[in-house]
Amino acid sequence: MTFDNAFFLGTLFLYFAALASYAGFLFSNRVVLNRWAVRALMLGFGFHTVSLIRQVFELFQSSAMNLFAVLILFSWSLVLLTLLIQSRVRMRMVMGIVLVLVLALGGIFFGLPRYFDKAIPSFNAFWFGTHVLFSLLGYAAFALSLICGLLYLFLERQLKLKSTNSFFYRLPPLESLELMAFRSLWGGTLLLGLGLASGLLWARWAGLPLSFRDPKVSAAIITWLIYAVILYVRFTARWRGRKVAYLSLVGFLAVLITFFVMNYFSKGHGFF
Amino acid sequence: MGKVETNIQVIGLNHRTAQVQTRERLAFTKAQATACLARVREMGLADEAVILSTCNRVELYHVWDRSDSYESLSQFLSQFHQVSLPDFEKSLYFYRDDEAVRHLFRVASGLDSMVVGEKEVLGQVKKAYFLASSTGATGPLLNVLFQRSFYVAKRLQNETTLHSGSISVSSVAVQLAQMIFGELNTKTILLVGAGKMSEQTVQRLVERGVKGMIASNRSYEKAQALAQKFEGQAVRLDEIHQVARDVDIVISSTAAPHFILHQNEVSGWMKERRQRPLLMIDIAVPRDIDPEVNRLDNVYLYNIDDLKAVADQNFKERLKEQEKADSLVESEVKRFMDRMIKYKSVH
Repeated sequence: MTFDNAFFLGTLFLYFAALASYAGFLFSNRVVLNRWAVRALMLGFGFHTVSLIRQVFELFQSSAMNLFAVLILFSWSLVLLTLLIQSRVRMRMVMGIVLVLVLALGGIFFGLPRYFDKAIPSFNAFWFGTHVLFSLLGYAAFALSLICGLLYLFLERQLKLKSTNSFFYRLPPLESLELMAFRSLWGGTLLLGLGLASGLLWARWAGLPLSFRDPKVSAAIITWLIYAVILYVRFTARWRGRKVAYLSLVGFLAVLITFFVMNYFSKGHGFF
Repeated sequence: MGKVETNIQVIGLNHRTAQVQTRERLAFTKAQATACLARVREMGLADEAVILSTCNRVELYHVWDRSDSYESLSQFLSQFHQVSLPDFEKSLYFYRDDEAVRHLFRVASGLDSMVVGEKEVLGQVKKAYFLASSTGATGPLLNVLFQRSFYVAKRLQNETTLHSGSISVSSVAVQLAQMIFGELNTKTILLVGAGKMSEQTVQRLVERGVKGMIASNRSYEKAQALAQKFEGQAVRLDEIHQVARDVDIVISSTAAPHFILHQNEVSGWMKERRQRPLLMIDIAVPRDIDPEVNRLDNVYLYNIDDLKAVADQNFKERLKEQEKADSLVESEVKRFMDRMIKYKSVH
């Protein structure tokens, strides 16, 4: 077993332990379980980071990338952003869902080949790496925004219907969910913007035949525009809350299409 | 496991066994409790003692290795308070060993209280214990027992939701406000009309640290009086549309025979307040706020029946939690008694 493989397995194990402790805490309210969950989570994140080092190094050295690396970089970004949010508002429920997602991704894709299969022209690898990193952070922020948005929609509905149960009281306050969804939307739009810009710069300098007519590039730009519109609507306070949450569902659908589906149509951008 | 004899005993009466006129005659002031703790031990009626005297209960926890302690202590109480024994004997209960341990654990955790799950009683038990220990009335057994009861009470607070889940209308309103806004310290209340329940709700919200309150009433003087009470500001009834932009929680309880707030008005408010969420609580009967308002985005309207429904729901949840709490206390009693066996076998 390779070095980063071992660390990645350790990551999955620790995340699972954290998730189980959170679930136990939600069920029994034993404070000690919460403490264990936080410890397992932090340690797991450390393992996660270590398991990424080689891949990120390769990425910035020789533009090497594969689907597996993309997915663990994505899940790392997701955990990182959630941790950043959680330092401000207590959101165990959000972290729990993030962990389920990360574990599912890790479990499903663990068997993916690790070799770096696509040789991408390696000059200006730095800009390429920046492009990948920022884009993935952006997508992770959108995923986080989606999770907060879905929880928001659930709680909103409960409040409108006036039906309460014990699960209801364990959710974060409505306004915090909305704020977190909005902040990650905002951050995601910024990060994906940087990712797109650095990607275009890199393609230009690399002299690649990558143009706006490439399906993946245009899909990414459309995705970005959708989020920009959502931000505009929210900033001007035309809409807020429920409608914005629904819009961000549409936005995330665009993310999924850009991220997975468009690779089959794109010639110049078909890595991983 | 046979019956473990710890000699821990409790004699007393509470809100369930005695009327208030009996409880008040047997209640101890702090000075009386101090005197009584000394007397009990001087007279050789107990080796260790703690007196817990609150408005709902009078209890004497003690350690004594004689079996007739019930007779001697009930007589002692009668003499101390100069109340004839037949007047209160029927109200007395007496527990020993694991029953006494269980009783204290339940009392400290609020399971034996009039409002099950209340937390104040823990503070009262602590005070009673510290008074006794500061006068040297406690020893190894009661020290361990009372410290343990604080731990059990804390565990119950942490591990059951017996203490959360509001079951009164005004506290449900506070709970809803917290579900929507989280922290309330940047929020402002608008109170329209007056009334006991609405003022109680404002009071609770003020206790939770809301930033400000605005009172409005058909009679401006009344509004001013309310504003003064809660250190807020008063506006005339027709001015509420001007302040609506800055309020987050509206509590309405006027005596108006028809709706005083309609959907189009509140819709206008929402544009003004840039769609920030608004909690509206309509306590009035007949209702003050058009129920259609609840259809507006980011507006959450609850009338008195809605609040009662939430309270009932919470009450059901609380009953479920009660079972959990009971079994938790049971396991703690067992743990304590097991420790007593070890303690006895060493000493």
